[in-house]
Amino acid sequence: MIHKIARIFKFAFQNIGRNIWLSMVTVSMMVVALLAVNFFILGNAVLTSLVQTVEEKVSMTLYFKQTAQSDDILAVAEKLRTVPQVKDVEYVSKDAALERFKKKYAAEQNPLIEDSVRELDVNPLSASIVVRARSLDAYPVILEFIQSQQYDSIIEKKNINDRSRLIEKLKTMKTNLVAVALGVIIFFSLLISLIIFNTIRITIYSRRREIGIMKLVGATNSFIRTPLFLEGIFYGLFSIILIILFVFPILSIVQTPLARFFDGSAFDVIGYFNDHFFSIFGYQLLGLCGITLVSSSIAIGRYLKV
Amino acid sequence: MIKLHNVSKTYSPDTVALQDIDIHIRPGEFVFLIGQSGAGKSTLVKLLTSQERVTNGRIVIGEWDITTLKQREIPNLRRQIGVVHQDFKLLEKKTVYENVAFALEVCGASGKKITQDVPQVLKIVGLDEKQDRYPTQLSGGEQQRVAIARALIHRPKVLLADEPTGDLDTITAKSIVELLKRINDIGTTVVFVTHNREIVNTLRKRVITLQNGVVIADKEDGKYFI
Repeated sequence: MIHKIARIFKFAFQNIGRNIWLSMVTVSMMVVALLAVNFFILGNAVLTSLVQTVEEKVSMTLYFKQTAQSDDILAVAEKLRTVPQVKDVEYVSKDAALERFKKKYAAEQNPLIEDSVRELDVNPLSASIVVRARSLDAYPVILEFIQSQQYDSIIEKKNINDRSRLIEKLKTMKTNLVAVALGVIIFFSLLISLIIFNTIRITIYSRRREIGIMKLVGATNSFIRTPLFLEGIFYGLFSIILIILFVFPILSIVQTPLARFFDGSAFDVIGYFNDHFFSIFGYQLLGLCGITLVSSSIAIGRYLKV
Repeated sequence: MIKLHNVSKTYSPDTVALQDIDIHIRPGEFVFLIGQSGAGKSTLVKLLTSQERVTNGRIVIGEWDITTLKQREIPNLRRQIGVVHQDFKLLEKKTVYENVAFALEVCGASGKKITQDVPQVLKIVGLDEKQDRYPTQLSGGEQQRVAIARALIHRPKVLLADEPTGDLDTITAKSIVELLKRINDIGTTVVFVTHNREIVNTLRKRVITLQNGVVIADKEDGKYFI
């Protein structure tokens, strides 16, 4: 049994070595196909991160009347914290709001605004509550909750509707992006499967005479098939190793422009590929082996009828 | 050794390759199977190696009725009949040694048996010095010797030679015939398919003549007369 397994490995390695050009063509075709897959994975990760960043930047601010007591405002904040869809609630007092305002314009070095603030005797800014939801879908629910609680007597500004329109827009955009991404995934998967499928078929086709001779000297179908299957798995393995060697330098090149695109809040692509290393490359290897096995068995089957 | 009872092979309703063939080849015989192109010689070889199935009749090799052979039993049959083809059918990516060893490897022979038997059989065909060469580095005659060595490696009781000298020059062809005669002398039944008049007339062995898929003559000490 052991010598049979050893022979299968020996034949597989011999085939790869002695058909080196064909092996190189097969592996390079696989690498090209996998490059496309990995670019797609990168694009998808960037897109998801983009949507996530936008989602995190969305918040709902409730501005309170000057007359509203801080206890009442804190009670509203406390009530909002009990809503399951709410991620966090931040209370910004009148003083804190003024402090932020001053800081903002001090940074901009706008003397006119700085002077105007100094002229005022009273703090004109309102206290507010900033609400962040767990997901975009949750904002309409939170809005509904606020409206149902009869807070109109203390809430001054109602820019809530504008925000809900933005949220709706973002939601539609995300849904559309997911639909487009899904379409692209299906299209590319089919395209790449076809490329690999045909590459393997051509590899087997070029060796049809050899397969016929093996049959004539008494080789069983499995004796012919197994080394060829193993060869396909080795091609997949070599391709994955090569793709890993290619992908990380490419990622380090795109990292800087991506960070610039994300306006400082850098999306760590290398970190993403490192964190998902086994799932990204493991699934690619599994997929590659699957396609290779299916295409090999279809291609070999035809030439085994001797 | 080989018995064909009313064997017929039809490819389409109108193409009859062989019709009602009755042949009995005894153990240890050297038999020429002759006929012009399209006479049915190659079809007969294909039937004997189960590359094709008979339309009618029965073929028995030894005690083995190969007419009813199951698909998974075909490799076993092929390991027990040595076959030599006109175009040698060697694996180009394997060396001389590996081509012969491959025939043993397919049936799961041990490494020890392979290292013992392959050099022996290569010595018989005179290629022990060239065992590391690839088929493309050999002459036609040498390639045919490799094919004969591969056919002999299982020590078969029957050796089918399908026009083994067809692609060779006269001198090389003679050496191949000599080799096959020696193999026959040690007890192997040899069926030699050819249309080489000179070889048939020189050896004066049993000659079975096929024409249009029918046996038209079967003579001991026969001659090429078509």
